[in-house]
Amino acid sequence: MFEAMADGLTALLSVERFLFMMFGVLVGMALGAIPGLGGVVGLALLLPFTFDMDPTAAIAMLVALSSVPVTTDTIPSVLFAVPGTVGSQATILDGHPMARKGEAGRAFGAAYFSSLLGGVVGAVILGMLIPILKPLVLLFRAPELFSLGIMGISMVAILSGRVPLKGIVAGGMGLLLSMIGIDKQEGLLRWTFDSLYLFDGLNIIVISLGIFALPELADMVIEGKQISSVPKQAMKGVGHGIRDVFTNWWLMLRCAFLGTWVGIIPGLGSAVVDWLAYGHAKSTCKDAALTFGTGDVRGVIAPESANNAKQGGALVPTLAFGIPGSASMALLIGAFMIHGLQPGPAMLEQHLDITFAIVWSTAIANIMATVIALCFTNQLAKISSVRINILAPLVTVVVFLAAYQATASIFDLVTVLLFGLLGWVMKRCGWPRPPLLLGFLLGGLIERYLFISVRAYGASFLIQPLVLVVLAVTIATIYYSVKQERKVRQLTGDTREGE
Amino acid sequence: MRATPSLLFTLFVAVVAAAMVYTARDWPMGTGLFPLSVGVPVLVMALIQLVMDAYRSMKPAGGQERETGDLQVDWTMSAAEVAARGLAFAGWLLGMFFGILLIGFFITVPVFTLLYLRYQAKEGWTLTLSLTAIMLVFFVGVFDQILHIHWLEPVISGPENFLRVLMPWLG
Repeated sequence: MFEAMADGLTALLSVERFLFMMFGVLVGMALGAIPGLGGVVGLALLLPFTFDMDPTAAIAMLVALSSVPVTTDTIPSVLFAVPGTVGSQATILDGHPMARKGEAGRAFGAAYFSSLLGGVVGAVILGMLIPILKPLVLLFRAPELFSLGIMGISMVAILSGRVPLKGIVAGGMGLLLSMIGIDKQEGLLRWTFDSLYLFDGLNIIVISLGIFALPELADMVIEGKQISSVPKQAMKGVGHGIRDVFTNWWLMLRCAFLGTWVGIIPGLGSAVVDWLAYGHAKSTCKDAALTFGTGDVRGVIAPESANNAKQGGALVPTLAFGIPGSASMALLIGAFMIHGLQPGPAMLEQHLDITFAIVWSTAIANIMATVIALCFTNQLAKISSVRINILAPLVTVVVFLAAYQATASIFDLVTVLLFGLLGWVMKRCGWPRPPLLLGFLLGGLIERYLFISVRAYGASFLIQPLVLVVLAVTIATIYYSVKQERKVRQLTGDTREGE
Repeated sequence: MRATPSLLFTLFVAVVAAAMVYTARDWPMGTGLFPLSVGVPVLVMALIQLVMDAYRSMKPAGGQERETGDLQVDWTMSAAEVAARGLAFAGWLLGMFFGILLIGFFITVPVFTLLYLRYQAKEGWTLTLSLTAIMLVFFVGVFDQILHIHWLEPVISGPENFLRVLMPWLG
């Protein structure tokens, strides 16, 4: 195996392959920074150009491209509260307040460095798991995936802060919104109002742009200031953020493991991973209930390390079984097949060197992306001191374009405006918005696996050993976070009933 | 009891949840089970929240604390000023939307950028024209030339239709 590892690395070290990998990194970084785009778009664009390429160079380029958008998607999230990709929604909650406090550079430093370490941890775990993958992934069937969905939705309790009832209602409304469209079980239409646009359900990119981007932009325009009113010389820079990652190395490592695990399980979805990591950090970090949401760097480190680590994890079922856990992994499988590689057990036996080249590509791409991103961090951070009235039309146009490209329908724009209004009213009325997004993300998954579990096992699916373990962890997490919240309320003297 | 924005919004949420539950009640088991098992508890909790909000709205105005759901809100501005500036921004957004609908992305994107920078941000012509040009290059380069997005056919397409809308008496 060590020989295959060395062969995989050697294969990447030719100038031509390295340059192609660098090209993949640059394209991936650019796509991550433009809201609404991401690795899938890049893979779809570049895939046709790889037909005549050397297979190792082509695969290294595509793997690099799909690994790094989650590094640069932090830029719009931190500066404008516009999620760069669906995997950077949770970063907004503390990254954007950091930018407003004049700590955009620190937020970028922490995000990039935790992305780097998270990505490398994901790649290392991928490399280590290759020999023992099969039994591990097969442990997770429909009942276990359902229980993981329940675990995800339990994060609503953590993300709701001091307004748990509003958070639960918002999470429930998110679940209900996820059911709009064709019912996958019976094929009937739910709440579509005879609109073709709603047949496929609402789009997560459009919803997240509406819920977060437009309300934050509106509030900045209403206040009429720059993103941060802190003088440039008082801004905290990138070095501070990197030191934060070292200080919080254990949190970074935990979230990287969490992200890898979420990536390994096909179907859990990349959009959930950052919320799970954020919820985990909020429920376990000291005084998090007091500081998270106000610009706590730990709220940036957790989701950023998890979403990069997830990329390595997502390659596990892709390589080992040929099961794509996401759209980008499905495109990667297409690329492998174009170049004569059949993902699955045979690939691990016959092309172990290429498999390890993929692992190395993931790790090297993350390192390259971080180094490049760090070079421009302090310049990017200065954007936060530009007057918002100059930035507002540019960000508005990008939000409209990002929403429109989701399904190329005018109704995408109607939806983004309606959800923008909803998000702004929610914010002003003290309703937490993350539970709505989390409910929306997990609704389809929970319903699908619930349906399969009930059909296959009846009610006994609830007493499967692993299901019980996951549900016990879920209950313990909720109990601990509620306890933490009460402690904070006692500390701050907030004794309002029920809230 | 005062009809505070918070109370009205909770009422809106409860009405939406009630409407969703009501429409789901006749669906077959496989289609309706999940919506009802989520919708009914959501409706009940929304009603509890409504009662709590109503109770709080009966307290004297000064005795209420403003809740924060996630990101912080600047409460130092007066409600009237927030409403006026919010409506102005909403006007720009709606202008952009109807512009796209009527004359398409290719004209709306540069026109919106230019008008906003010149008349809302009150920037000089140099910055306005430079940023408008950058935006246009970014939009055409990335979204049209590289991504080949399928653009919406605007209501007024072609110069003859454009003139017809501006001067309807021409027929």
